Amino acid sequence: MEEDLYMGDDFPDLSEIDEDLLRAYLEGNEVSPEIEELLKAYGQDVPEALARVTVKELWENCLSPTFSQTMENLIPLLLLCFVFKLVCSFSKSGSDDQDIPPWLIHLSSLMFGLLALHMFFQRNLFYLVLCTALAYLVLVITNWRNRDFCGISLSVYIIVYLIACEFMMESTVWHSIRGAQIILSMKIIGVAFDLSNGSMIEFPDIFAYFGYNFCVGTVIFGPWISFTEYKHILSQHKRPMKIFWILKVMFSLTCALLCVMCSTCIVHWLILDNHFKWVIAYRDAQSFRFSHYFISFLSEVTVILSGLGATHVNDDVRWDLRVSKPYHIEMPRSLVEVVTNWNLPMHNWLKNYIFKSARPLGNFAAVFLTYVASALLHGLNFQLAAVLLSLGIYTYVEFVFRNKLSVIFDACIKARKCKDNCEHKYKNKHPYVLAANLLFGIVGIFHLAYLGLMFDTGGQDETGYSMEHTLKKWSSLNFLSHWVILGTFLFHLMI
Amino acid sequence: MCDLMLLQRKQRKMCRRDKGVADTLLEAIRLSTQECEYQFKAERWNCSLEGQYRLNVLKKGFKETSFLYAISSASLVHTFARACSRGSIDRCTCDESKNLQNREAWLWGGCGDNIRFGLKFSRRFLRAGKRRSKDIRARVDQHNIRLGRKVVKSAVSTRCKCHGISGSCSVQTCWRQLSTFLHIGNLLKNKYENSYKVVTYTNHATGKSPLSDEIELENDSGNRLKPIEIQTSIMDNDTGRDRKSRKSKRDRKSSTDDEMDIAPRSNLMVHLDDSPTFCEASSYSYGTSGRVCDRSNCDVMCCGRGYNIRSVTVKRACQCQVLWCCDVKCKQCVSEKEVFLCK
Repeated sequence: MEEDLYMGDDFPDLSEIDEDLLRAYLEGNEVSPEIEELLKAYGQDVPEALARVTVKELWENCLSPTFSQTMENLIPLLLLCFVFKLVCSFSKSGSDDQDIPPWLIHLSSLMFGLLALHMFFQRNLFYLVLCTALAYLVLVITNWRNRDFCGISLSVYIIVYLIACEFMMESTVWHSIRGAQIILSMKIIGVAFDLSNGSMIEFPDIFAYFGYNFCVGTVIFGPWISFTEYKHILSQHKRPMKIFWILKVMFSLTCALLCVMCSTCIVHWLILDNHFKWVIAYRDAQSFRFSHYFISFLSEVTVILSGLGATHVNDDVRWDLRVSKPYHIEMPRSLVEVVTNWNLPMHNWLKNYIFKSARPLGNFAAVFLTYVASALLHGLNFQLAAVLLSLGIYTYVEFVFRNKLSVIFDACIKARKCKDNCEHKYKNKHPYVLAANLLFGIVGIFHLAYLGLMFDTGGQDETGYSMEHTLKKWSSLNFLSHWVILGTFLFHLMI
Repeated sequence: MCDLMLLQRKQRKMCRRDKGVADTLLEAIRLSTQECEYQFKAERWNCSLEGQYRLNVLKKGFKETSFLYAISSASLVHTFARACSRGSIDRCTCDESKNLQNREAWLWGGCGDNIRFGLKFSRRFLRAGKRRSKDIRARVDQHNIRLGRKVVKSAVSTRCKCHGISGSCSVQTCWRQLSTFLHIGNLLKNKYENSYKVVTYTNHATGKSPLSDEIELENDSGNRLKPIEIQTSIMDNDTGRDRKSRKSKRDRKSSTDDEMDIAPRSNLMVHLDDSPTFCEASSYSYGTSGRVCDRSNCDVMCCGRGYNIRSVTVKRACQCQVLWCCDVKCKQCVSEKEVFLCK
């Protein structure tokens, strides 16, 4: 019966022949030894739960819908940014024919930003508007009394506001707007510190302030840009839409889409659930990291589309804003490099505003305060605070340890890459140096897997992660990474 | 099936790749057999489906019969939905235009139609066929078949992934996923353990609704269920005296089959007769003598007859070493293991 059916090139439908037999078997009308033979011989496939799906199925079920869902969510935002750039190019501030007054441009920036916020957060954008309005009020009052205290007073205001949000807002709502609130907080504090330390002479008027805080290219996904950079929207005639601009947008958009597909689909397809627990930890951390790169590249796209994020070199415009450099994180030289390249604008913000202001208190205090500030900004969430604090300790220990080793061995194995004219005996390209850096890199990957593993999709990512979840995940790996760092630190003290 | 035929290599590849409906059917039956054996491996009746045993169990109305029907239909739905998503079957349709309106729900079967196809196929396949009897046996079987389908349909879970700065949830992508069949097997096993027995049933019509019956159910813990609540779920082959309206009602029933699951009682597994103990060899099973048991369930499994302890030598590969390069040499470890066998 079956022989003639598979010899040819077409595969005729077997259903009419076998269905009745099978139905009879299922309903107990006939005993069919042939069916039992067939069932026994049918092949011992891999148990269903653990078989990797085919590429076609992966494409149809995960890649393609993720791609279309993401584009559906993002295209309106990208369109808004592009239209905003067109609007701005009508203003030629600083040149002879100034068509549109600046306050109108700032107002349109605010309007576009509010529209974008409404698309993503609907009514919850009210919290962000409230934050900015109160911040402006505090700024005006402090400026009137004594400009030098602007930085401190707005920092205190932001801390109070974040604490209030963390404890009084419903957790799903807070978790969804937390990202935009981080960017907003950085902008507010940045302007305040600029005023107090004299970098900004002119007090920002209300239109410029609101336009800066709600600029459509940076309001939802970031990145942080400085107020001076924002003011370039008034001089968009110096930043025409040339080929490099288009290429940069396309490149970042492609990277963003690749990262989101990797994070959602490919990582879980490559490493299944039946592996050793550290491999699964690496996979979950990897998925989280790719999600972060997706957001970073996406923020590059939005900010460049709005006409911001460029530097001017000799009358030439270079669209060179980078938010995150995945290569330096996946193949890390050290944890210090990872922390720097995770979010470059935020790193610059922390360095310029927090670290430099706290320098007078000593090196260790300054580093500590920087991590505390970072944890505060991210929301008073135990999980994030624990990860950031651990990272702070790890980077400090690694930095001093590798410094000491590089002095002892006279080799370029410091945490940061040596400049080309360093005084070490063994320079960057020496095999021993390369091997040592590789080893440190692998240890760094191990620490990253440990720290990032709790950002899994265990159902808690809508409301933020709790303390028990964090401690449970870490204790399932026996807090190994923390012990390793403790050992490294003790070893460093001994040598 | 492709391995059993004498095919050239290319043909075998083509055969494997283009499995049709019959192949999927076989896979579904194999899956249900495998799952049934797994769920019952520590019980007295171990779901041995050889020869006459299966037939005899299916002819009666035990709890085990109910489980068999439910798991067969559940495996049909599950396997067909997955086969559709793999593209193994041409009959599934993937109507994209319907899905564009529904933003978040695209099924982990490629499109929403896959699980609908699975449900429809299973319903058609396991219909009472020519045996459209209205007796209580047929109705109980239909109920359990529908229960199997229902369990698969309700076990579809939504998984979401959040993206945003520092792990916040600015953008969310969601998809729905069919549970693993192991999970469905566990759900059905639970229902098997709380299965309700039909205690009384009447065939006469009540005053209010001429086409309904009264059925009373009771389970092991002695809970009784009122008759009114069962009517809406078992009502598919009716014993009305009005044949014309019965025919039309049956047609209507078969089309609104799966929408009619609002009644809570359709979540239960139902059986007719008390099961035998399966301790001794009977026409339903081999009996439990010679079964392997472990310390915790030997007294139950062996029905108080006691067990023999046998020492078995087990050979395993151990102390494996990787030689440079690419060769693994293992030693053979021999150990004694104690195995308990029922008398």
